[in-house]
Amino acid sequence: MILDFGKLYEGFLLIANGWTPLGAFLGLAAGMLVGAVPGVTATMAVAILSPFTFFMNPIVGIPFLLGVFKGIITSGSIPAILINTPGNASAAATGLDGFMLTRKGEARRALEMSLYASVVADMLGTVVLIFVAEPLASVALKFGPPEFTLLFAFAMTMVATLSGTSIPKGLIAAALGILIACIGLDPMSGYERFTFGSIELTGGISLVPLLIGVFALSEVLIQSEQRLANYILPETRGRRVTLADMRRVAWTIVRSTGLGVWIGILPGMGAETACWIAYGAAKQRSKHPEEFGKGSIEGLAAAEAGNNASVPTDLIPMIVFGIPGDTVTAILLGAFMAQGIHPGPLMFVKHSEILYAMFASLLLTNVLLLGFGYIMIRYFVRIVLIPRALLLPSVMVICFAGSFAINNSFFDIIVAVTGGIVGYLMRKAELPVPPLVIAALLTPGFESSLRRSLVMSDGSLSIFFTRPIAAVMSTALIAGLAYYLWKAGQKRFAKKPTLVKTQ
Amino acid sequence: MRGINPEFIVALIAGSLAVATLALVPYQVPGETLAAIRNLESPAFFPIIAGGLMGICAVLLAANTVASERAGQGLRLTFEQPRTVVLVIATYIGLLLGAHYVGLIASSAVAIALMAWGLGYRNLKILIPVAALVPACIYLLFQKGLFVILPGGVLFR
Repeated sequence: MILDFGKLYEGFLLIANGWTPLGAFLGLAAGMLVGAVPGVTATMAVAILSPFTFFMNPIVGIPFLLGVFKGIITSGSIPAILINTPGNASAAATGLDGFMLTRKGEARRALEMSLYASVVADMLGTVVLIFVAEPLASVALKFGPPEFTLLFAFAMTMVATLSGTSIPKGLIAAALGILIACIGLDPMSGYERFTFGSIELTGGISLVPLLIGVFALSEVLIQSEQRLANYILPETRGRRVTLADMRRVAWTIVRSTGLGVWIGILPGMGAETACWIAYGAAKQRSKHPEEFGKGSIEGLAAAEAGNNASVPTDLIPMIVFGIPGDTVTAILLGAFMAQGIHPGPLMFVKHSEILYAMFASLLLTNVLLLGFGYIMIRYFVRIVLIPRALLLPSVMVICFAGSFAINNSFFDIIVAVTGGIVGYLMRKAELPVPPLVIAALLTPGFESSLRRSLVMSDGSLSIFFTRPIAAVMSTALIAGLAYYLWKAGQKRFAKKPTLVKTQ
Repeated sequence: MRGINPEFIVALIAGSLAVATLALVPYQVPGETLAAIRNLESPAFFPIIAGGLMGICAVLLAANTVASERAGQGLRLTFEQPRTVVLVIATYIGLLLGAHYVGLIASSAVAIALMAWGLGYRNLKILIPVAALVPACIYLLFQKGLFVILPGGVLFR
């Protein structure tokens, strides 16, 4: 199946209602505002702002959230360039050359280049998303419960990549996520599980308040613990980006976009990895590698193109298979589900109008990003100066209101606060939070598809090996796990260097 | 090295949670026992798997921690500003109780002012307007814009 331009055109017609561009614009503005504040992560911002979309039509709410995602990744570069403090992890590589340009009095040039590289890369990434998603979904449409079970099993192995240095810790977090997902009614039999007779627990733990807690409220605790610095804003007038600059970085942007697009598709990796890989590749290929880290416009463009290109393709695993590629798409998945839309291949059949409207709005958001960013960038720089001692309490209150608003339930505020404190303690103990979230999100689908598969096969596991696609997936899964265990074993039992005692 | 190794605490909590989960299966999943581990279609299968996985990982983590302690490479739990952390957690709990008893908007104003002051912000000319404006904006946005009836407080019912 190739791209259906008719559907894309219909998508554009659907968003030409005034409200969708407004939603995308507001999301973009909110994302850029929040993203320019040092320390506010993309995950935190999407978690805080997602409850607002539950009251909107999906055609407006989804572009709003995507606008937030794009805005925050783009504006994370503003504090990185101006004060050498990345707005979020995806802008970490930007600061290397961006801040050096600021010190040379070329902050305006750096800010403009970061915007242009971001917009170009995002646009190219969106085109890849549009062309790749439907053909992949047409393959996924052939999947039945056994194939989906294996797909969920694949996604669960992502826990290993998100576990950091300790696999047992990642698995403990994942097991906690599975347990949280098991609370409430059993999806097949309807029996209550681990509800302790509580009416609130019968419906299960609401995921969005939990996400707000573990990502946003725990972040407030982490940031309040750090010393709250006061920043001095540098001069932002001066030299601007020229056509010669653009010609010099054109290939760097294209190459970094290619890398960013690929990294975005891979599960467990996102903008924060893409920026470093794109930066490294640009330095390797550059005619002036010695300028990198000393104010190279190429380095800046590479980092920004890399992280922004990964934003649209980050959505591919979620849209096509219904599995989140990283924590931001995990929250987006939760927001989609709260809207009654279940991402996956069937979305192309059941909600194709929303999907193509989403693609159209992604393209539109890029145009808005360019115009809005160009005009507002000189004003956004002032956001860097908002004192965190005022910002953190305000974020806390918004989290409380947002958690309550999802289901009009006070219990959800309790879930968010508990999630916040537990998330903070997990982070202090270096217990990774993403495996918990991924497991909590995937378990219901995994459990349902596994049990449906077993009903189909009268309880026999052979169904995972006798169907052609399932057999290929099972083999790949077993081979992948075996390889992973072999590598882990090799690393663990590798001969340690002998220490020579010296006098 | 002095201080607590957080991995010991994680292993201890995870181990306790695993035992509790497995022990509660017969009581919290109707008609099921731990024997359901052999039945993939049972509603108790996933909770048992989660409990078992957590238990095994707790033991592995504990073993790793003992090894790293012996090698003198154990982690240490550090709180850079414990007073601030306690203040923020107390504000969360205070706002939770305040939202229940006197309403979210009124208690938000107080919570913002107290937390910002506790975090070291002393400019009252800005702090007081912010403490009043943020809850007012939340009220307008949620209650008037999105028609969400925010908690009004049981004391005012």
